[in-house]
Amino acid sequence: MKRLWISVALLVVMLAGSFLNYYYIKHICRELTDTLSSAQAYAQEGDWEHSEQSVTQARSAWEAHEPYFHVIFVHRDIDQILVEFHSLGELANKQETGGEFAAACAALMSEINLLYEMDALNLENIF
Amino acid sequence: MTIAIIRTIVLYLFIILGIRLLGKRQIGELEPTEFVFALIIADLAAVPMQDYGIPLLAGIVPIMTLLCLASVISVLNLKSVRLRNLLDGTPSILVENGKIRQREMTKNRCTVDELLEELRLKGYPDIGMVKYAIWETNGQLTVLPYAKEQPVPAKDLQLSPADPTLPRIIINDGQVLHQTLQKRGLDDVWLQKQLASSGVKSPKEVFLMTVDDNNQVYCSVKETNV
Repeated sequence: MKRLWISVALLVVMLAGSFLNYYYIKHICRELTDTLSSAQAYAQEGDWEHSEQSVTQARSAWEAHEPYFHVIFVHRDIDQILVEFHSLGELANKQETGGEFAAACAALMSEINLLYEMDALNLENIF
Repeated sequence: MTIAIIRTIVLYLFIILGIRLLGKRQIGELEPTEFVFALIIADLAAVPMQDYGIPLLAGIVPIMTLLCLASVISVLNLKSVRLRNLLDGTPSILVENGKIRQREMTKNRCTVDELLEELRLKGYPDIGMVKYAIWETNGQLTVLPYAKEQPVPAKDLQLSPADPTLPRIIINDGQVLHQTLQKRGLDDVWLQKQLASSGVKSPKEVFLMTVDDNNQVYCSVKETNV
């Protein structure tokens, strides 16, 4: 019976861990997308200085969490997001006004959101 | 490359843990639940082992989940006959009182050729020798022959042969197992005597030496050109 309870306990711990992980990732991703949204808003207003600052802030936050993301997610996805952060920073620096910055920002935000969405407990993800 | 080595070691240890959990059964003797577990576990480990882009956790978490499930199911199987029947099935009697049960054969998708082959493997070339043949849940066939086909036990012949004893290894490939020697109440002086009587000077020259409860010694000397 001891073996049964240990196994059940391990399963519960793993399940609880996966839920905690999901909410933690969701929290981080929300913070990142919020910062990127404000970068987008600043860019629309023509305040490129604050926009670039927001992008740098989001990238720093991303880099701080990167080791954890590497343990959880497919490394390709994580590296891709970092590359996109760099190109977004460049676009902000060059003050791209032709909508390129807004498009790159939106693409990056949706990629960040996908990270936690693929771990969400729903039928779509299960099947 | 270092990453590959470390990842392989970690995953290998996890698979060993899983296989140990299956117990001492051989692959061909696995129950359906254990067979499924053995099939999946190797594949789960192989993917993150080969692809460094996939986090190790993507292999470890499913393996851990499977280990826990296998453990839970094996304990519940012991406790509940109903669950055992549901997950592992029940044995099927393919031959009863010498008659082939054709419906049972069809149910188990077993052909006559397969049945006869299994019977031959068990030492029964003629189906007329078999009273019962039972297809066990692990895929093995149990054969109960008619009484007239069974070997005669010694007691029926009014014989009383000595019971066999379990021989224990005392020298394994040149190494003396002192613990076994002590357990049997023997010492190095006794061992030297046995070696001398086998024409050997040192234990290093012995490939295998065993001793049973009646102190009967078996000695196999190492071949020089191996």
